[in-house]
Amino acid sequence: MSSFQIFLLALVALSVVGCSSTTDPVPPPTIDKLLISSATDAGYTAEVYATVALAEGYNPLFVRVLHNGVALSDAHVTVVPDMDMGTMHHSCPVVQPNDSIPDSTGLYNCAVFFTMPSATDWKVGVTIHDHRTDTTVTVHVPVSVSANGNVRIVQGAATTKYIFTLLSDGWKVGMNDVKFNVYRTTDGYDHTPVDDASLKMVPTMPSMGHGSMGNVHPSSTDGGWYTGRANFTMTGDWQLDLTVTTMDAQSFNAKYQIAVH
Amino acid sequence: MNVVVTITTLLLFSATVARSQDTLRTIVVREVVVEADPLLKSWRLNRPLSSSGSVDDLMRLGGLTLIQRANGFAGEASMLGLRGGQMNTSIDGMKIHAACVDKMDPSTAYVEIDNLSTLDVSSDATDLRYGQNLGGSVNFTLKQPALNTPVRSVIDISGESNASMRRLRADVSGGTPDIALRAGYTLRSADDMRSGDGTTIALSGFTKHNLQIGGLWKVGDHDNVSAVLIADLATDVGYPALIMDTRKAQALIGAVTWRSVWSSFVTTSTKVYANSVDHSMDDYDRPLSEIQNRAFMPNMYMPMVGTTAVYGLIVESAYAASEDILKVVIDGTYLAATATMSMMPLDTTVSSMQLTNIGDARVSTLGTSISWERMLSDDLTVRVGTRVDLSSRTIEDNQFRSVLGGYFPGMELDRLTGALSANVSAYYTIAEGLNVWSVLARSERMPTHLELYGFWLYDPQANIVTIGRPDLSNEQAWSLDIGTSYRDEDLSLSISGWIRTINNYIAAVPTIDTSTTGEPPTRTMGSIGTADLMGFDARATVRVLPWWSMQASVRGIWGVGVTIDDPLPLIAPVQASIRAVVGERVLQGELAVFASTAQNRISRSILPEDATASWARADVLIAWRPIAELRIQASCTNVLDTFYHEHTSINNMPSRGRSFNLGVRAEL
Repeated sequence: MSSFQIFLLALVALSVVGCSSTTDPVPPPTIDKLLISSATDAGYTAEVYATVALAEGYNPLFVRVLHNGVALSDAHVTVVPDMDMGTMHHSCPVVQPNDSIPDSTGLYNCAVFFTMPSATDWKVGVTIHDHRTDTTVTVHVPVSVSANGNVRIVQGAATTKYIFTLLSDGWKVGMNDVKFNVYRTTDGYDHTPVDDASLKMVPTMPSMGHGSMGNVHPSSTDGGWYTGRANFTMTGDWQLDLTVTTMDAQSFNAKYQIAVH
Repeated sequence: MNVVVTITTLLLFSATVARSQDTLRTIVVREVVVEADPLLKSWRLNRPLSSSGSVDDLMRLGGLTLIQRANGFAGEASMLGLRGGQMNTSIDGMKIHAACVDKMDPSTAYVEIDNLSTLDVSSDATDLRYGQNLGGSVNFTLKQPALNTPVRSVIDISGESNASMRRLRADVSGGTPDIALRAGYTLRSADDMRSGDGTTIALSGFTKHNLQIGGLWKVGDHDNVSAVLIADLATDVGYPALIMDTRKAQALIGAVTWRSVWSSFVTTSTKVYANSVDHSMDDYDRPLSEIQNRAFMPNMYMPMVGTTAVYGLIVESAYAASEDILKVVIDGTYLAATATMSMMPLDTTVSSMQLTNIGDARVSTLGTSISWERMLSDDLTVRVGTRVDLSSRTIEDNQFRSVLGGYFPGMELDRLTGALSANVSAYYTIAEGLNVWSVLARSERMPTHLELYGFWLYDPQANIVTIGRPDLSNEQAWSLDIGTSYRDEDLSLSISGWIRTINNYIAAVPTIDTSTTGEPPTRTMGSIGTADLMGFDARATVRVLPWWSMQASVRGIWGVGVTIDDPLPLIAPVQASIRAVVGERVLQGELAVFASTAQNRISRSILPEDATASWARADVLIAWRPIAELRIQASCTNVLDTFYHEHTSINNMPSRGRSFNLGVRAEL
């Protein structure tokens, strides 16, 4: 084979490769989540996703961070919600992303327990430590949180507050898994899961004046979570009467109104 | 006690007579045929005096007690202290299950008296043909079209003063040598009734339509095929003793039967049947004040809907020789039942609710019964019988399974169970016309689908809520019946006594302490241990003069829950009747007096009830048949306008006061 023929083959091969790279671009990953909100600061963008609109209580969130429009694949992401109540600020319990590597779609998984509803006053602070540039930026993403009555905040001893969160679910007739979460805080920013409380749960139907049988009191499953079972024997308005007794013998009551369909 | 009583209804035809003779043979051990008693030559043939024409009255004549919830409508049959699943009630052997969980539509409600050929009542646990029972079997045999009969039509119109009860019956039948048809329609309707104290009982009226069509085809020299269809519709049936009324109850019952005479010794019958019952009830007609102030679930309307569907197969074969009769019955059924209740609060800020009372229960049962009767000598006949059943039970509604599973964690909701019953009886002729008999039976019955799976069923008399229990054990009973009878040309007498002990007696057992919560007491079905039942029955008929007959009967039942030392509930006290029939074929008169002692032996824990005072009631009737085709009947029931209620009347609902009745029946 002559030098010319080799050159020609190489030219053809290059042109084929070149055509392939221009006609079949790698598509950006598709995110099958609901974009709640996003914000940009110092060239870093934080996008907050969820599966449904945000509401009081437990919300699994998915955060994507981008630098100049390119999703970061190696960053340390920390989420710190902030409620601006005018005269004071506070945060709420958070489950932080546990890895600096996002999933294949560029999302960091985390969760936030919003302790009250607000259309305008919650901001999810996303602190990004870009490992490539060793840069740390905090982007404040405003979010809207609707009310659902799933959170109760009770005052404990001294400055301690306890936050009881009912994990909302599609309640149906029959036996339902019921999950509660218990956190405590003394300053409104640092929240500690409580795993050593004793929970008793009694489902009742106030309009009918009866309860049900077969219910199982919630027991701890770690991370502040407690799981029990409630037997909703009919559709309609039910009430979950929750009694939480902490290790220091403090006892708190909370009622949750739920609708069974 | 008349262990088996066959009451043949009015105007029986030749085919029926032949059947009666056959029946006589097969139950030679202890049958008394009330109608056929030549001493009581009433051409009314035990037709109830009331022109309402309800089978309820007929069942009373058959020795049954009716648990009353409405105005002479759809009484729940009880026999010698047995009720519900302890008895087996069938129509031509077919099982028809009530769709209403509050027992407002027993299967007997779907049979009209004019469509009946016979009512077979067995109270000694020997009749196991169509289902397990502890000593109570009631089978309504429907009239069949008759071959080789001229076209005949009957119209029967009657009315009563009390409740303006009116009844229309139209009947047409006829047959060629190869095919016969029969169709009958009955309309019964009533307004609110009046009790003996002059009070009008609100919401006690009803309207009921019943259509029965039957056909018979001779398909061979020894084979015929018959088909029957019953369509029954009841609307706006008031249940003043309960907290709801029936808005609509409709039943469709169909069967096809192939009968074959294989030889002079062997006959067979194969029946395929299906039926469905739809029942809806509500409290929409109740005054608002009642809704607001009632003890159970106030301030809300609560319509309920129930449905049942049954598919069945019955294969009967009989071998009859000179000294032996062998009968084998294979009986398979499949039941599907669902019932739901809605609750709609008067307070519109409260969400409406829906509760499932029976979540698509499915019960499949296959049973086989065998009876062998042998005449050992001219004086002694013995009979042995047995039945074995295998049954699977489940619930298909997953949400309902979840609810019930929560109440009984770890308990298996699906059941495969069985039951075995056996009996032996002997009939001995001491002298001409004087007989003695005895029956020893070991009986077993499986819990009903309501007892297993019923959820939040309300008992208005005891004001309790009951919940089924999926692991209920069978009820088992030992019973001994003994009796004697005498008959000659002018006198018939029979006296009998019986005792029955039931183990694992199923009842609603208090399980949840609601004394401090304000909730209605809730009970779960369970066993209350052993219960005993015993009783006696005596009756006599005498021909005083060729045109004057007298009949008297007295019956007593005693029942107690032995383990928990509490009288059994809904046990009728001692009851007696005296009837005098005078006249002959053209003009007849009758006077009947029914009386009951007080019932002070009442249940205080099994199913709390109150005592009932004694009462007596008299009825009179005159019937005129100027020509064979025309009959005019006038009567007065409860002549003295006595105010009373039977002990088995739920919430002491009073019986009807005086009522004048007039009826005309014409045949064309």
